[in-house]
Amino acid sequence: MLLSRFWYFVLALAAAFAVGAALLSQAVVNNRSDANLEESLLRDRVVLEAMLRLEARARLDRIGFITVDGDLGSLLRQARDVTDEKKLRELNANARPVLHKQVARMVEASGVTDAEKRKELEPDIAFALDASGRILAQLGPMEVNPPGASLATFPLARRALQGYVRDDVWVYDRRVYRMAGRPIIAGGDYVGAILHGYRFDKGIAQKLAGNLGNATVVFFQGSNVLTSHVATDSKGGAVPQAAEVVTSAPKVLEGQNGLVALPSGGRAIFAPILGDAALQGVGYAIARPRFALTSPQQVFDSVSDADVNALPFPLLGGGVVLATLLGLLFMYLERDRHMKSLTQKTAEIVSGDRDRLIVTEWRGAYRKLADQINQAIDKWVEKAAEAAPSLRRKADLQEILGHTPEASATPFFGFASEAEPASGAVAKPPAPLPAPAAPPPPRAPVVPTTPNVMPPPTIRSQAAAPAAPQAPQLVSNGGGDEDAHWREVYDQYITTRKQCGEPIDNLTFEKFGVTLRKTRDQLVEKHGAAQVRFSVQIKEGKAALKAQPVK
Amino acid sequence: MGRAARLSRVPASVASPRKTLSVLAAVLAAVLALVTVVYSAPALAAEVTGKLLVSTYRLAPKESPGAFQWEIENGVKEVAPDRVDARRELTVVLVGEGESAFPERMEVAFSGGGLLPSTIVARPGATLLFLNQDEIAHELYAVGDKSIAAEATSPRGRRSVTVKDAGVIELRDQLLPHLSGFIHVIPNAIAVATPDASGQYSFPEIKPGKYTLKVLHGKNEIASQEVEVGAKALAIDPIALTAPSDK
Repeated sequence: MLLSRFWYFVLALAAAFAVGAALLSQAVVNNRSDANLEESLLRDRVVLEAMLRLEARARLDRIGFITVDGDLGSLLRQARDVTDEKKLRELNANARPVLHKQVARMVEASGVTDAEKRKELEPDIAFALDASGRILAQLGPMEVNPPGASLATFPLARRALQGYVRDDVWVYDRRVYRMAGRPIIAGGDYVGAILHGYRFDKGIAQKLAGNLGNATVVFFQGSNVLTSHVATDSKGGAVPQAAEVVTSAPKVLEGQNGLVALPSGGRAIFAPILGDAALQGVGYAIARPRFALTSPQQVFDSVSDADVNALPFPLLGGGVVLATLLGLLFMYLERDRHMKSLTQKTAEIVSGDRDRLIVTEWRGAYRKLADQINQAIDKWVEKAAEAAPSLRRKADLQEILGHTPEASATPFFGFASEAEPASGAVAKPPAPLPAPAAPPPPRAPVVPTTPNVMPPPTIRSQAAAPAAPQAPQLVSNGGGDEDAHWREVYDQYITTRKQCGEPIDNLTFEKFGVTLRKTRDQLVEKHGAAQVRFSVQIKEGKAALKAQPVK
Repeated sequence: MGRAARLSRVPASVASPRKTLSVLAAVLAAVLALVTVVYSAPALAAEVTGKLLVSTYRLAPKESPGAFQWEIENGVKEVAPDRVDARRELTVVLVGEGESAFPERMEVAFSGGGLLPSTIVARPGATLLFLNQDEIAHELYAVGDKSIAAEATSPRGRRSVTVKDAGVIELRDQLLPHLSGFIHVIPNAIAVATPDASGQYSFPEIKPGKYTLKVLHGKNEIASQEVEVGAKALAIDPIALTAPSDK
């Protein structure tokens, strides 16, 4: 059975390898997917930074013409040294419509005709500052500032008043603005600056997300979402939502290069916004869903026809055929061949050509099976012998074997390695061996009514009654029959001991005969049997003799 | 001569005490006048004035490049150099032994999105009153000092803070990250002055004595010199300022 067990092991190994390969494929696919996701998000951040930079530049350029505007410059120049509150109010009142006009010109200069897009170009907040940073005019919230209100210390205002063109992101009056500032030059001097800003609205988020291949983009301040665009096409993964992105934001945005796992399974990358507002927790996040295989089956779901066609079918088919042939060969060698032989031999028993199975013809389980068949034959014979006359007549066993004693009266015995007397043997002086006898009689014909029961050869003892005329072939009368039976048993016993790996040194037929004789005498005396039959069996891996008294 | 006639009609025993009382009253009046003159004499408190040369004071860049996407020159006119806003950022203080003319209560304004002045000097126990002159709210707090926690000061609102221990306290604003200020708590501060835009400063009445004049910018002391104040007004030579990073 070794080959088939090995074959089962190979098959189990192949199955385990296949399952392991599938699981590994799942892990490989997931790892590759994660790597692609990380690479994609890092690339998204670079793209988003570039787009924010371009967008900031567009805002700066949009107010470029105001730098040298005469009307606004003149008003700012007049405000330069004014400290009188009344005069300042007057200048404020004059500057506000001028600033409105400049903003309108800015929108007009963009060339955009679509009303919605024109609306997007109108700044949410704008300032005209004099040279000392005082607000001369303001659009948007708090348009009416008290005279002298100033933005002098804001870095954007300070640098614009120095002559720089600069952008920034402000948190002004608890609102976040994308700011841009330029100096205003009049009469060859810096007379002030113009600042304008846009809030983070839906439009900017949509515009940026659209250029990122429909990722989820969120601008936030602390735990508040300023604006967001949530991706619509998930392609299987859960779409990251703005709220979960913000709640997953790290406390410190600066220096964030790794991905953050989102509760929905997606991944997000965070970065602070470039500007003053970064110190107040203003930043952005880009999030994408994570495509992960949850079972190896999904690996095959994504296989294309081209992948299938690329498989080495001849090699795979040949492997299958070879494996099948090997399996069939192993089955024949280990099972079919023995089953066929066993079936054939048992058929011979049925047909009467054989009395018993020779267990040594098989190995392993089949030998055990043959042995059990032999034991079954013996028991059937015993039962047939014990049966009532009516049954006996029916089975006709009594006529062949005579009465069979109880099973408990059929002891097993054997020989020690040094051929010592078997346990339970009576230490009597050895009796002379039976005289040489004639060859064993021919096998008795099979009784048709009991085709499955084949009685073993039976030898009557010296003191046994005359043989029954019904079965003269089985019960021989005289020492020659007994001697032949003992010799047959001896040969079978020696063979079985060899096969069981037991020593046979010094186990001579003479010693063997002494033991059989003692056993025979004891059983004859105990059961009043007319004869005793011996058979060789394997008991617990060892050769054993079984004595069967026959009345 | 009527008075003499009246006196002549007074008996000699009565006229003598009256004369004595008159003399005593005259002497007392003279003494009181002398004491008043002595204690109100202007020669015992002199004005100290001076000038800081702010035009030569070059500042180190304050911001990191990551604070913006673009900062480029306008291309029309050369940009102006960085200059200190002396009125807002610099403070001159006299330190020494003697009677202090330092106020127990001082006002500081939120103006232009920053503190005015942003360099503040106070003695231990002094109260600072922060007045919000901006149109936006502020939330001032001290870095590493829980006694000045972040607290909203709405437009035109005010907030008072009492400083106790000597040292330097850094102030920041939760709503305006660029806002920065420092309170120097100096136990032996005698007087404080804020220079004007050109760097001029003055201490109106300083008693004679030896003092140390210090110029503070932010958390740093950028200049220091010994001065001796006498009975007359003192004009200190202009002080050239050196940026802390140049030292």
